[in-house]
Amino acid sequence: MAELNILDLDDLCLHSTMEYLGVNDLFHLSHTCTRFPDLAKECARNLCKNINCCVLMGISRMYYRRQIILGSKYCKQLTIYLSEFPIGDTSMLFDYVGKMDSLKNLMVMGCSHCVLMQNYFFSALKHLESLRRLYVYDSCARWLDNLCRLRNLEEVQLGFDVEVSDLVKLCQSNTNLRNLSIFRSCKGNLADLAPHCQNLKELFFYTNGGLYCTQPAHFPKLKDLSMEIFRVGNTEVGELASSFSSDDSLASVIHFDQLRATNFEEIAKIPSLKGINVHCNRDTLNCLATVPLLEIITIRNYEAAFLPSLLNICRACLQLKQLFLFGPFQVSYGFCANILEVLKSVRNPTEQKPLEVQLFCRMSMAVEDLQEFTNEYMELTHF
Amino acid sequence: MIIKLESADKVIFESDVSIANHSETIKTALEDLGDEVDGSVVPLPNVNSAILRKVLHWATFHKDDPEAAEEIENKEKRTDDISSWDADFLKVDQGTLFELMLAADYLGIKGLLDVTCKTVANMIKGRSPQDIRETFAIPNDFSPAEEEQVRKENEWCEEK
Repeated sequence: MAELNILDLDDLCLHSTMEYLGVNDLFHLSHTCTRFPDLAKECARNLCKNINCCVLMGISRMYYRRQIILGSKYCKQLTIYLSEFPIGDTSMLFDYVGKMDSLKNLMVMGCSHCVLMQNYFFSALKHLESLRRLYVYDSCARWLDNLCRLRNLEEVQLGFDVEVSDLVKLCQSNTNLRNLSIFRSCKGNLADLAPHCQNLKELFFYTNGGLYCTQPAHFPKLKDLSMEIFRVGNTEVGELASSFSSDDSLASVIHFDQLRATNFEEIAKIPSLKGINVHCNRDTLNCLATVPLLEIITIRNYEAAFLPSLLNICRACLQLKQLFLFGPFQVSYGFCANILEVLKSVRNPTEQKPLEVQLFCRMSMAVEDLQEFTNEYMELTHF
Repeated sequence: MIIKLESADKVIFESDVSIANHSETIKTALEDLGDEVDGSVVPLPNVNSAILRKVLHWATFHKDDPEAAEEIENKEKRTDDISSWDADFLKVDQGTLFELMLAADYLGIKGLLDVTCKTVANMIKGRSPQDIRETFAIPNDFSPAEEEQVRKENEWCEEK
């Protein structure tokens, strides 16, 4: 009998062998003869589920491009830095992305130079029925016109300035949208968006002015609202706060740079306000102690001089579950002991989980001493 | 207990049942025979005597091996952990290596299948398509259009 050749092996044996090969070797094997391309792609499915095209992350250009070719059928998550695909070098990319039938999550960055290519790119994407999450950063609002050509998105994150009127078009074409996050300036009348976001569960927006609400914005399924508000006048804060205040199932998280006591009167009216994220000053901390139902508090630029105010918050906010403190203060043994003493006086460990306290700062105590402060009243973590 | 195994070319091998049970296929056949196992012959029509002899040699050496742990799915599997005994055992011509792999697959001997696959994978690793063709005598049967696609894919993936 003639000696067996590798091509005489059945698919199962070849598959078992190819499972020991990485992307580069599978790519080479797929280029030897017609028996191997489909098998190589099948075997690469686990190696190509998540493709990150970024040399800055230490991934070689050759490697991720081979992943794109091998994994086009099975890739579920793709991160593309379009700046790494110069104009003239994108048609192959778009061809393969257009074949990514399993793609669920797509993150696109570095695309400002690529305005002319967007039409081609989205022509490739619009056939991808499984695409659910799209994140676009470092770009321009021209993307929005193209995003409106997609139909099945459930989660959209945008890292460029937008107008509410453009978001309306996006939401009209993607009626199953559940999460919308705008990380750059958002301007316009938020009330216009509500009728087109009937399935929205999470909304995050950032504003430094120009965002308003002419009437209560009713998002029937909204559960999480996060607003990041910078340098916005009292009236606008009040409007935005009151426009969501009617829905008591909402868990709101609000981020401010400088929270003034006058702003806080409106904010505190949101009955469902559960979390707040603020820059530290004495007024801010005193205000926080007046909202006893807060569950998550994040304080940035915390300084040791504000310890009495912080202890007041611990005394007043009995529903508190998580407390995040960001430096420049130095955490000391005395600081931790003070917090623990207050928590012992007000919290009931049989009914409440320990308060998670996470400190992002320098430390002037021994690391092993931290263990003393993880007990039934608090769980202290230092980063 | 000793059982009898019959190869494709009708050669009878005797093996201790604890060694033969490394093979899922033989184990199932013995379970099917039940009480009639004594004196019965288990036919193995897909394995010739030369290969079955080697398989039994391998199984005898590995009779006390613990079960291998499952590897993590998303990572490239290791091939640098072949024992020196297995490496020596598999210093055979390619035809025998592939026959051992097919036999391990047919007989359901995971350990032998793994180590033969690793050995073949090591023969592929780090080689260019042309090197792989030469190593395994693989004919290039791409059409001109497919060749052009291969060329484009290579060009697109080049480090520039």
